[in-house]
Amino acid sequence: MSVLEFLNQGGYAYFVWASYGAALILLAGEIVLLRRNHRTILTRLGRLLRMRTRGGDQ
Amino acid sequence: MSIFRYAAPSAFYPLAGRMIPWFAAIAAASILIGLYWGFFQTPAQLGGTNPQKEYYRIIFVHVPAAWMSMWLYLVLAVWSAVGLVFNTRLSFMMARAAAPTGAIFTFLALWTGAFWGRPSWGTYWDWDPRLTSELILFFLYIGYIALHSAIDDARRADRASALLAIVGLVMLPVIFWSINCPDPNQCAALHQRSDLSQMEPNIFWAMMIMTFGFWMYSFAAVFLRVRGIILSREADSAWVRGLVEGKA
Repeated sequence: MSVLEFLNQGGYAYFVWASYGAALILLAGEIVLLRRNHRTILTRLGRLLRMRTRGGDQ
Repeated sequence: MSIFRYAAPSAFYPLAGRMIPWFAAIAAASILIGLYWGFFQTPAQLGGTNPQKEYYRIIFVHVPAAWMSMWLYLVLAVWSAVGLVFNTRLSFMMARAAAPTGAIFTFLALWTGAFWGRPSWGTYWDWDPRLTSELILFFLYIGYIALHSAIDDARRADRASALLAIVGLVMLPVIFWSINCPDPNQCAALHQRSDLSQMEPNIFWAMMIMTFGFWMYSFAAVFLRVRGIILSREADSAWVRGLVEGKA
């Protein structure tokens, strides 16, 4: 089977790749966003902590 | 020391952190194997008389996504119930963390179903019982997330949305029996009665491996999210402060 044949999926490329494309975007996207979100939380908490210690934590 | 030690967010946070790479690696490996098997080791069509052509390969993402959409809703409802009964913080956090991943799988099941429906049924959408009940499941997920974020007090949000999650549980048997009803003539469904034993073995196993991969993916995604929730909600505790100081 050639690469082109594979991509063509017997003429149903649009339906097959629209399905797998959405799966790839959503699942990979979720992981990327979650990792970024985690770093943001850590940074924000770090900033909050430094502000409090400098301010004497009233 | 017992397993219940990990009911404490402070104990679960590092444990989840250690487990995520494993779940992610197993998920990636199974999905790659499942895709290879599904695309290269299967016949080009499904079924005997009037077979489905290559577009049936959507099955390897559609069925696992649909199964995960129902499974994660069960997970969401069970953690909600455990939270309500035992009043454990981590249970509610797990429920909250499972919801968006469940919603994503529900959306994927609907989306891939539409792209499978067009070539096989001639339509992207129909108000068939299973499509409709799966759409309601999607709205339940969205409703749960919306309700949780609409209430400022996290503890109250937990309890209110937990109730919604448990009430919504009624949709799972509806989705299941929307095909597998006792009398097939009573169900005017586009989906046919599912019979896994009739399936071509390679198609069946590729689908199962993909399901396993999606399941492992769900662990990784939910644990990633619950770690964020734990940090945000325990921000004032000494252990989070210690953790942030160590990292900063």
